[in-house]
Amino acid sequence: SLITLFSLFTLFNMVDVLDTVRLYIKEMVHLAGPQMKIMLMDKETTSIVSCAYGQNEMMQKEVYIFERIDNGVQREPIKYLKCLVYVRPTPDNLHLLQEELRNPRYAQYYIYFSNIVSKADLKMLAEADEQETVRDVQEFFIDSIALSSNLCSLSIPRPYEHTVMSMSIQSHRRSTEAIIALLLSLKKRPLIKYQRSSEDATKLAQKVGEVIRREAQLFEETFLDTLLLVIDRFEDPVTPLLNQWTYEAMVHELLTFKQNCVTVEGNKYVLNERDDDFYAKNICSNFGEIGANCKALITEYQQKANTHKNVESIADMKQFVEEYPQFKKMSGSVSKHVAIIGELSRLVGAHNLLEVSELEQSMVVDGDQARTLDRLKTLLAHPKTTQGDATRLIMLYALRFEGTNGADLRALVQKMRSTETTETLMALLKYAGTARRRGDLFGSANPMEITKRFIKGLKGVENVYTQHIPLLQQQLEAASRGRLVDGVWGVVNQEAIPATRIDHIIVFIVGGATFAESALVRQWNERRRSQPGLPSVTLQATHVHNTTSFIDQISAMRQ
Amino acid sequence: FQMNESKRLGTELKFYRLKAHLRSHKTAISDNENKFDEENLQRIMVVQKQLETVVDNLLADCPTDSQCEARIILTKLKDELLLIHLRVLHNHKNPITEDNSYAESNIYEEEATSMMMQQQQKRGGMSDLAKEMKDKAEVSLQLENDISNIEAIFSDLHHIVHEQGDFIDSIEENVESCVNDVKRGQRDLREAVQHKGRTTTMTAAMVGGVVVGAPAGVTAGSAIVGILGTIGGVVTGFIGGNWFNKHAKKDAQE
Repeated sequence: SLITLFSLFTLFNMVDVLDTVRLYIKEMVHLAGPQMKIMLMDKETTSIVSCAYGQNEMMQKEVYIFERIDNGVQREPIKYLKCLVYVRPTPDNLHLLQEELRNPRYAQYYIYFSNIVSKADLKMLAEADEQETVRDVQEFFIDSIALSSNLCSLSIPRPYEHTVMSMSIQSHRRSTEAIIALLLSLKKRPLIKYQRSSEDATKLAQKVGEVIRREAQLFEETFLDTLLLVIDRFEDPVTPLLNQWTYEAMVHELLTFKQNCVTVEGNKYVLNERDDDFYAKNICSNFGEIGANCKALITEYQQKANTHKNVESIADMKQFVEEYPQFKKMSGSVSKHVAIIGELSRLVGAHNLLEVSELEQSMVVDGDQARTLDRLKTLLAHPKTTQGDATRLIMLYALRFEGTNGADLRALVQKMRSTETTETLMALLKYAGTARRRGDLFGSANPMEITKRFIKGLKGVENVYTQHIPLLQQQLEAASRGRLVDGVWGVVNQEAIPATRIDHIIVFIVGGATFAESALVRQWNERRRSQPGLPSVTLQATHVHNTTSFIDQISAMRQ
Repeated sequence: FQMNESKRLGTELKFYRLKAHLRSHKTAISDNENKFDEENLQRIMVVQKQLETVVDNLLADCPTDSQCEARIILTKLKDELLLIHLRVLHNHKNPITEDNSYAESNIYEEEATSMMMQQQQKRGGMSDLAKEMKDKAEVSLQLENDISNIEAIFSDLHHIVHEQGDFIDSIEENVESCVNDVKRGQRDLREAVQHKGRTTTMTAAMVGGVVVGAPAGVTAGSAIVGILGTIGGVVTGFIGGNWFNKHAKKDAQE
């Protein structure tokens, strides 16, 4: 085939999805060669590129103009530019691309698709290339947004059909494509297991298996060391409803990331680990640590600022000019983090979040109903408690004490005086109530869990705000020990990979992941450094939620 | 901790540069002090004027607070400039003879150099003296060039500092918010190509290289690259060829 598969896998041992994306994009630009370039993308590939490279970095590679192929803006021809096209192979994009090739605006085209292209589509494209401006066409299987080394998102905040509790056909297709591309970019042919209780997970797993069989040629040179675990958000509706206290998760919870961008008081800031040391170091630090580290950063900055004041000789001046870019970068970083942390801290105070979070945690982890109800009533009446926090507390209460709380819950909901809240709550219980969940979310049925909790209670809690551990931890432990029970977990392709050979787990979460889970995976992968047998984990999800977007997703189901 | 760090730093940097110019300017003057010709004097006075303007501009940038450190130093600088000005004029009117007063009024100069010069003058013949004067005139000219170069870099740097303040390094944000900017950039790019014959491309390329984020700057700088690009495109256009047709044929055969 003229479409050459491009393999960079051998360049790295640890699975790092962000690095993979960066390598592929770098290769795209490299293949187009020197000279000025324009990059033509669609909505989704724009996010993908944007999270992997800063504009500065791309400009250093002579890509100066970035354009959307699908925003309807009339682009003017610039005949001396090379054009890098990186789009998803959707019918719309292919149509737009044909138009573009019939009347080429740029000198040469280098076309890279983010997924498998059919021969028919390729032929149509070739026919449209009347002016023979196309120099290269390849499939580069980068089809979801890599937010960090272990997390990628499809950025579909509402994947469900309005009336039914299963994904829309588009979301379903999109998810399949994203999984296939991830597998191909990492060169893995996995054993697939899925959560039987979820129709979406089942369908998705089977579809992925089917595509792997159909595209056997593409999967020829892949590794058999991976488990793909398809799970559904409804098994753990609690994690996205909790307040978070690590930097990344907190920023998303309180300020809401748009990909890797966040807006504070009208200023936009980009947070990424690649060129922001402070962020990289503190991404999983808790709020207390961040405060202390930020103070240290400011002190360091002030010292540097002072040394820069003493410029006396030409030598000093030379040194100053040499160090200035670094210093400037630091000053940008300081003002960014001070602004963000300042805003976080203001919100924590203004909304009484420490108290709210303490109640959330003790409710979910200890489960003392009478005590919870008392404190819940007090907090709901508290003037600082926001509508959003009240909703989340009631939702957690409803989930935690489902079946034993009818009258109390009605009373609480009535106080909210919002039919919307009531309806969303009903949708939530239908979506993720005990009737649907199979797992032991609150550890109440398992005697081991009860004992563990009892011992923990005796020892005292280390941090009351971070007691809860997402269900994902249990699922990963079971998967890595080969203890996924057949009754709960279905298997797709029976290519037997012995459990001992599983070196990597890809978890796809239907209905979205959270940064709390990403942090958990990060720590898990850290552990792998000292425990080489432990499989590494990559998380892929339809979206990365905070409480607001998660409630939105549920709220959309009821309509 | 001040949030408006970038602007302040820009000013500060300007300021250190200025201090350095001043020092070299002063050395140049004192080296030539005893024997200015009319042309030399003209040049030095031009530089002098430029410096004074820069100082005045900086002073305007400064907060009006009389305690402001920058303001105090700038005022001192201005005084010094005035002193130099006066001294240059003075020495021009009374050449060579005023050795004593010169040594007195100058605290920074290396006396050794001037003494050596005097000795040389006594020993060497007229031709040596003439050669020496010529050398010195060249040095002075060089210095003047240096100063204006530094000044250019200086204002570029200040420009960058200013630019970076507003620039968000996110492709997505910029693609979404800069549709208009891109249009403007494309217009500028065309203009840049129209200017392709001009010799200013080198400077433009430099500006283009540094002003990241502003399509106008980038495109202006890339005129030469753009031209090469066209040529390259034509050449590979011939070599490249029938990729798709071949593919289409192959498909048809299959």
